[in-house]
Amino acid sequence: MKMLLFIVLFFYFAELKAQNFYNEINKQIIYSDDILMSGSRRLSDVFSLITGWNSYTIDGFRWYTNTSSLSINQNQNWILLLNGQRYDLNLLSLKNINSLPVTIDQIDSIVVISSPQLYNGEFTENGLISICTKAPQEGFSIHLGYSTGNETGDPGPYIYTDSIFLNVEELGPDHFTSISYRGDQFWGQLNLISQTHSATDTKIFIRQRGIQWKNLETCSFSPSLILNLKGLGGYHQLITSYSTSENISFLPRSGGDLIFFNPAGKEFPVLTSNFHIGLNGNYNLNQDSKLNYKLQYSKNEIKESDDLLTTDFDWNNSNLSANLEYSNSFKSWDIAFGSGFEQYSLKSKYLPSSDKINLYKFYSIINFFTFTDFLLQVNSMLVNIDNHSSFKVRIFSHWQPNKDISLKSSISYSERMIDEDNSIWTWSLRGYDYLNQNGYDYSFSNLSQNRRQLFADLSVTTLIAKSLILTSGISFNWFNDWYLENYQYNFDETTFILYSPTRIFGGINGNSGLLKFELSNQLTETFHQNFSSQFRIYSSGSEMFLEELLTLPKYKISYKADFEPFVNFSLWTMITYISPTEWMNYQNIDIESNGIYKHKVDGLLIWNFAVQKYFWEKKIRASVLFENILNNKINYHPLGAYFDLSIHFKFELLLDSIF
Amino acid sequence: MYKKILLCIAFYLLLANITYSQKEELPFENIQVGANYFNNFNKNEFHKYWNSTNGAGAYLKTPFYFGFIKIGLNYSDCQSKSNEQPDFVNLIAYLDWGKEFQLPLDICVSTFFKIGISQMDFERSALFVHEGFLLERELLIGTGFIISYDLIDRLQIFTGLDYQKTFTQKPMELSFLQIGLSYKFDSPEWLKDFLK
Repeated sequence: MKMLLFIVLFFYFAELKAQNFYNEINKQIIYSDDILMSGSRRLSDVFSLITGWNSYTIDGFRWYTNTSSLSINQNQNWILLLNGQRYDLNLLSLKNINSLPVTIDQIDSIVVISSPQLYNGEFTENGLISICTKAPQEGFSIHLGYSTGNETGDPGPYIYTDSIFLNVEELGPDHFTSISYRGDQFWGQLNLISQTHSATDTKIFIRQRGIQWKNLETCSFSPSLILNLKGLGGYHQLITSYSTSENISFLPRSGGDLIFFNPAGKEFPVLTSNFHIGLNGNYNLNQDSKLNYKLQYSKNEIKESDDLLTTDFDWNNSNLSANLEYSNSFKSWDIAFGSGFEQYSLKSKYLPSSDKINLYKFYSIINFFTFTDFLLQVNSMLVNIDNHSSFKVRIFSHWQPNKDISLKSSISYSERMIDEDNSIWTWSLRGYDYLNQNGYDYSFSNLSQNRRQLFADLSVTTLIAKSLILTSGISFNWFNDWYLENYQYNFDETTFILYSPTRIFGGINGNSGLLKFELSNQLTETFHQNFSSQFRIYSSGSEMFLEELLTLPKYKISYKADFEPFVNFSLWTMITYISPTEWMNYQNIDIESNGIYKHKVDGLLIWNFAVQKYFWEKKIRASVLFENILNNKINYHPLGAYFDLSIHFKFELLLDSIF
Repeated sequence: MYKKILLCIAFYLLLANITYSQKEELPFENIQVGANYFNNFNKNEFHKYWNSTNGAGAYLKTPFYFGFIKIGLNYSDCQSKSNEQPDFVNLIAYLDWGKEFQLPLDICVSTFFKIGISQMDFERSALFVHEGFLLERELLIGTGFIISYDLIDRLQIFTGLDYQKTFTQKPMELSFLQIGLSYKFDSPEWLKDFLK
């Protein structure tokens, strides 16, 4: 009833504007102003602004995410781009976006794609997040930033009265320095970022026997250099970065990182690093045609922490890739052809000899504009590894019969080889023997060469009133011959350790359907609101497939509003409800752990509120974010921390065009 | 009981706001410097272990959007009632956002909402103090009201009630009666430009 009333009011206050009307299907663009107003401090905070994805965290710093159609728990194969270059932050099953060497404040926009399609030479069958940074102001500029936060629920003085649980309490501090220069044809930017975080919640701490408190504290340092050149017939960019959690002498804390490892049912303190260097850009052949190119190399390393009796993953995974694309525009159609090469390699003492996977890909994009109100796009890609191939295709149509309505449809079919994942299972099949040598019982069964998926999406966007846009859509997803990790964890009450054999089952089939609604309304020039919801309306398939779907929320509803009553001052709020989830892998631990861990995660009602203010002619920005105002016990994962009301502060000094 | 009193006062002020013409000040037009002395008067579980009797603070206040903002520091000493708990110094950095209501007879009443960080610095000489818990910081929120009277042109005397809830695992709820003096001056142009 309340929801109905809310929707009626929403319509009643409708006024003007048709922004985002021509968006691609299942594509969301989040702009800098939205991100800044939300008080976001870290890149992972942006996940809460993505409407079509689900995400969870165990410790509050490392987030796992995926499109609503795909399991978060099973893979992190979504693609991350920074200014068009792919960032391979693959540390076993973790892709920590906070390791990306840019800050929230440098973001110009984020494109989020949930439907499979060809984007920037990548086929987005597992979704894509593309971050574009702002070009610096002309001349020499310096930006300095400091942010910190505090989660409530500390023991306070009561630690000296009776037994009290500990919680995650230090959400920082984080620092950043950015020095840039921009001339007529060139700009360069040097970034230095450090981040700290404590994962000391009781639920995490108690399963870390023999591990000191300080080893649950993360300290990372990420320097990067971005160089841009407009010239030589086009646009060219070099990005190089190194993100590390190893000890850096001038940082306030010793380094460290945590990797949650599913076969162990716990996280391990380790040292991690990511190195990236990439060159991308384009060369204009003539007015209608150009060449796009990409050449990049990245290396991800997990090392044993020196002062700890912990595990040694000895994981040194590198990825070399090159891509060349030709595109041409004609009167009533566009065409692009591309080919790419990728080489994944792993060096580890657990691998008999250094191994490489060579991947070749060929793709094409054709856009037909035969009719003025109708667009048809066909994407296709062929991937080849060791004489095995996978094929990916997508057909997209956009019909706009009049200015008030737009219909979009997309159908995609894709195959994917396990070697394309470049995951721990890819390498375990190729001889990476960490699991056996460290006493983990694991096995594969019924794996097929290719797993297949078919996604069909239909979306209707309607301009209901001058400023009220309704987008409704339905998605159907079909999965065939997928593989899933399966665990049956037990809990040892004396050691507080979880244990389970690891079983990788192939031949998993299933279907699911999603319904989505989104209302966007620019009520006044200074007040904007947005309501979005998604419901899983249909699911069928094998038992393991259906059990995996239970780990995803069946529905998610959020309301967001921003208000700028005065120049340089804004208010922002967002209320999200995420339905309960159930994790069958952990079904035994409820009783065995005496209720410390529960395999059912309650529905989450999260209300955030942020205030942002600029000072000194926009040279200083300050923001405060209240996260979880209702002070509910927010928990995303059976083994995850409880997150209470938190407050986040952020201060920036933005000295642009000093000389 | 005092929460009901606060509610009644807030309601009265709402009526006053409607019925009495209010002077609107531009954001950052002036700055008020004040000092206050406060006394904790409520009793709850916290007071089984500690006495939080009195303290002092200082603040800066300026007109802001939809009212005023005030930033300040409060210092108080919490004395343990037994040898099993340490004494601690409670230092609170806070920001109030509130609304002023001008009443007849040069009386001004204001209500506000408070957010702040409470820093608890525990007595280090106590043997049982844990090394990892010598210093604790926690969020607090609060509300209250102030009645002020113009003594002379720019000098005011004020008194009021202040309720604060610190979000420790068992929340610390403390209510204070306060009294103080403040002085108001026009903001220099450069400062107005900076703040706007």
